[in-house]
Amino acid sequence: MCFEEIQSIWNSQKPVEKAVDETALLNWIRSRDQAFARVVGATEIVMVLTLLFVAAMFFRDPLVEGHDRILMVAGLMSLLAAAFVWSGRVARRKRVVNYDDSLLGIVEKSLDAVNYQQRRMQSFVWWFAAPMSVGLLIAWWIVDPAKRYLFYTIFIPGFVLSMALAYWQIGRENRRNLAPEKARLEGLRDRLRQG
Amino acid sequence: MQVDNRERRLNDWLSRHQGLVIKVARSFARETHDRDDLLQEIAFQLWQSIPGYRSQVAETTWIYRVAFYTAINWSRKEEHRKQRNCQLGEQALGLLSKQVDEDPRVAWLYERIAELDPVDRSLTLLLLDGFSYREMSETLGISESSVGVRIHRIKKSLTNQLTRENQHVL
Repeated sequence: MCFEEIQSIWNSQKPVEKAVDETALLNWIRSRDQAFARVVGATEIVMVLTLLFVAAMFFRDPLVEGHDRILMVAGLMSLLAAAFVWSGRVARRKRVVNYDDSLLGIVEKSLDAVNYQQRRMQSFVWWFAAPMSVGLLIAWWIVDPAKRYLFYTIFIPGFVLSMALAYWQIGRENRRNLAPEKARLEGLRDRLRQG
Repeated sequence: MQVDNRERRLNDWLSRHQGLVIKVARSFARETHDRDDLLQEIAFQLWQSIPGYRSQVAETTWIYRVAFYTAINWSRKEEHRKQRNCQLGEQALGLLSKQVDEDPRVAWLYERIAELDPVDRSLTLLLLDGFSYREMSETLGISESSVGVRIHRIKKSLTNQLTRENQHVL
């Protein structure tokens, strides 16, 4: 028994002609393409708008009222954080898998992209927390001491809660999607490299 | 790239290389429903890949790369995809209009191929479709000597299985 018989079984397959409903397939691709762009884009836009709103709040007193100019530091940090999120959106769009390379090359680039995404997500909490923390600290310092109770009862607990939620969500996303994806890609890379 | 050009390219690829894509789907998905699912996913990834396509790469090589990468990723992501398809309000489309091949020997061969490791599965499809060792090496990114070692192992395994199958039938 030799491999030629296997080859002849393979060659005996009837040529495939019009076995696929191409119209239905193309319609599905169009709708999926749009749905994907909507979901991912919406999350990033909400994050950027939130940071821009926070920056506007920090800039309001210094620019409109003309006092507490030190709050502009927190406002500037919020703008930088918004720019960071937007640059990640641009970079993500560019990280579409490029099939110019061999399968091993594609796997390695995908692995780089996953590692990059993990680092960005893990650092995001600090990018978001830093301007908010600075702003809170400055505001607490300059506010009328009679109103400091608002910080202890509302602003600081709200900030801690939102940071904890963000940290938990990022950890969950990493555990459920990125870490398994990374393990799978590493396994595939190792199998390709083995003899 | 304009959407029309992209759609024309995709239609052209699906028309001329439909057999290649279906063979990969059959090798990586055993059930008809799953094959439809994988076929959709491969077609979508082909669509995504079109803006990056350069004519220096042969179309079959490009399509094989996309199909293999997608198929190998596919099984783990199957659960997520079923959830996403529910969000789109669609199930798998039933794209394959008929059973592609009724020959039991061919079906047996696809089952044996599906049992292989994903990398060996990819190599087997390239081997059976007449790719040279150099072309296989370029497509997968492994050395030609590694291709040779794996191919030797695959041929031996499939031949032994066919021998056992023929003895069982007799």
